[in-house]
Amino acid sequence: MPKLMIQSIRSVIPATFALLLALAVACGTPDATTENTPTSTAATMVPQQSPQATETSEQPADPANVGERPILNAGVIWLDSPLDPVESGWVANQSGMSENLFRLSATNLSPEPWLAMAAVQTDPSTWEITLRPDVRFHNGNAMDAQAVKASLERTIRLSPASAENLGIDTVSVKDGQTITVTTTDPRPTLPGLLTSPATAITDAAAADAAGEGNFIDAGALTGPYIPTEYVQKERLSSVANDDYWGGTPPLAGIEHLAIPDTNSRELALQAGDIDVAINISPNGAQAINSQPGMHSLTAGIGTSVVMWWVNFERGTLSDPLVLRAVAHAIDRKSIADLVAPEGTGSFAELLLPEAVVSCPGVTAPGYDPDQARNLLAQAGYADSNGDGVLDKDGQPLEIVIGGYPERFRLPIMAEAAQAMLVDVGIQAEVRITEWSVVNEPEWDLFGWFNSVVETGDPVVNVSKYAGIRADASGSGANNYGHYDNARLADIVARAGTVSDIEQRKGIACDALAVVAEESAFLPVAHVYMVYGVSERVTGFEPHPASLYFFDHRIGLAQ
Amino acid sequence: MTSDTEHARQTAPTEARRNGGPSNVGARNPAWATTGGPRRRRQWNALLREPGTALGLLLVMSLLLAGLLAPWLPLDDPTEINLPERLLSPSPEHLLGTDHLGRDTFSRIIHGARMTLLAAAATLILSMTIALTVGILSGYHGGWPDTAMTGVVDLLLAFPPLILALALAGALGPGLFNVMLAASAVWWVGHARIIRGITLGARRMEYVTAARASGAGNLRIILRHIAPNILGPIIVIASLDVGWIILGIAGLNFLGLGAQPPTPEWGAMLNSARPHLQTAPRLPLLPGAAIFVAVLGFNLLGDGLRDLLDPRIRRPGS
Repeated sequence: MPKLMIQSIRSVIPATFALLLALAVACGTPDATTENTPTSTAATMVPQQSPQATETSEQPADPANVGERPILNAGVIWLDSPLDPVESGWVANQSGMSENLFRLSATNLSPEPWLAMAAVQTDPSTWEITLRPDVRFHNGNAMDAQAVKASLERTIRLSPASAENLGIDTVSVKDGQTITVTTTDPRPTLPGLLTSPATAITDAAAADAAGEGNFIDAGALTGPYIPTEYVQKERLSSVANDDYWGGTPPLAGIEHLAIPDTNSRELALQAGDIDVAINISPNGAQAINSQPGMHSLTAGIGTSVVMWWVNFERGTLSDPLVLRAVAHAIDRKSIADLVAPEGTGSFAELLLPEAVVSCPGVTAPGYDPDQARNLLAQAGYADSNGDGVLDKDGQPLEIVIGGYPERFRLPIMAEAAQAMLVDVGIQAEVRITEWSVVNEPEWDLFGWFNSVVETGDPVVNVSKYAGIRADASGSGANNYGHYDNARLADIVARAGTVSDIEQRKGIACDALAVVAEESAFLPVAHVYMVYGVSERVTGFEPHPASLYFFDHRIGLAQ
Repeated sequence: MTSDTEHARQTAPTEARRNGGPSNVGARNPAWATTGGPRRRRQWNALLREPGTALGLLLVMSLLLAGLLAPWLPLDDPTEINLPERLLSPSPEHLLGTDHLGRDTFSRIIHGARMTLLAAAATLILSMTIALTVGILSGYHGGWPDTAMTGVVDLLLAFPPLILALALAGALGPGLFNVMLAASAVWWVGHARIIRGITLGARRMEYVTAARASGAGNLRIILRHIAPNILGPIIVIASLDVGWIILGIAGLNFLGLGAQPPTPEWGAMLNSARPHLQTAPRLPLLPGAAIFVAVLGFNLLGDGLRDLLDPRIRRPGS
């Protein structure tokens, strides 16, 4: 055997690794190669799910077959928050383990009863809430008025953010299934505020008795699935709650796996490792729809926004002229078409989607690079050294566009905006790192993905981004850009005592007009939650709010 | 048959005497210096007739030319986006189509060659400089410096190099320069060990003894006698290493630790093409193929150079 031939073969091995790597990532389904085609997803509108309908449409499992019920595997982005609602509660809520007194309707995103039967506002600061009579916690204790009172009091005691949002003064038991809630000031949207996962109902006595770190042992939740093991950021195991008030789930349990990378989630579904992939990309939906045995589903309502925070505390964009120039320089609509093509989202002219509030005539600065150049010239910037980058007092005009990779749209948005800013002479550096970097003053624009339909109230959702509460009485938690505007606070303050939803929408539009005019945020697209689902999965109803879909009706055909 | 190194070892003292003293031994002593001329040309010609080496040289030269001339070639701006033209299939206007932001893929591949080769060359030079310094000093000096350096090398060799580079690049922060630093910081270790071994052998040679006897200082002996004699094996190591360095740097860039948008770099391109791996497979395939071609070219060329310079291999034309 010629030695040179052996050596040549050996030298090819590393290169072959590279080619195999490329082939491995490149080989897809032959039918999925159509390019430049809008992703088509199967749009499924979820009918409104009233508590009564839930009870009557249950699919009780045959107790004789309980041992043979399948386990569903789900791939989710995050498994990072503790299960105890007072410590966030998002994971427990999404995983079908915790439930609230109210939840958001799938059709109009307004609050509807869940563990409650009804709510009546008897005066501006008093609500009377009637509870379901047939609910038990996972530990078997009854969820009655006394238990709900204790749960709300525990929430207020252990979660300062919830306490501030709810503004609850006292909770009293009227009878076995009715509580009376008084608030420190008028809370016309209290049922909406009680949809927050952090206010999920828990068996307070059991949770407190279990002690810190032993929340699972308390059996303190009420949902159709009982958590059995939770390794944060890895997996969350659950078994069916056969005594669930809505009916016995057809599954033996659900295994939730944290798969932060979108591609990996999509491929895990295609490989059969999971049965449901939460939040897949337009390209992934296209590939999944072309595969036999699986399809994508969406509720077809954009309830989350992809946007950029504007850092008002960093020098560059604190100049209103430069900020407005940046707003004109970025073609948000083209970027929206890029990251949320038809069937997966729509252009976000304003922060809130039309599903929550429609504001005719309210617009944000549009794409106009010439206007951007004029504004920058007015701000004193010029290309003094001919390098294509504007400068002033010897300092080049540079901004940092931050973001995080788990939301696949954010890096693409950043790169597109970077190129658009270069066109008007602004040097932009893209830094895709971690979402927690938003708390650090190292960026000028920061890509963000978040729900904008929480509580179902438009005023709340404008206010929390703008750093003020819905009653304009305090500081909001989400104001990462440190935006501060007294005019906006005055507008939001008008909502303090208004309970009529149309009037509240009018106030929200006034507030949106202010933040749009000042480019306080740069929204890009309202995106749908798109799910990849194996055809073996039955009873899966996508909900626009990216919650509530792991309910007692979801099953898995054997 | 006598190898070049053996020939050099045998002739060195004689040549040293012929040239008036040990100071000239090293200069005359390198393998390729003592056996140059027509014989060496014959070996080169024979090597180039080897299909593998010729192909390697062709690929490497093509990449070097493409990388060097990229700014002056009639290509589209590799960073200019054109959203209406995104994900276009190959056409006369866009030979390899466009990417998810409408950028010309061919232009990005060609400019990517420039980035990749530049990063690989910088990493190689930096890591070899460290390895030569540590290896020669350790092998020549012996004693506690050798013990200390060997200990450090053994310690670093205990870590998988790519994982260590990953940790360093992560600590330094994203950027192509930082990736080059991180790769250099881990790549020198194995080389230092090899160079130490070669130096240990070289310092026992008679020409070194002769140089020392004639009063030459350590620095002069290292620079004039040791270094030139170990250069052959080092060139072989380096040439065979370029491929792995390209792969390593591309891997770090793939993970987002290196070149940042919109820099056209093959590993970063592979990463940004991931969302399209099923709907537009050419997007990840093309930068992957470019990495393949580069690694293949350097490895084939490296094999050829080893055949030419490694005395233990029977080479054509000898």
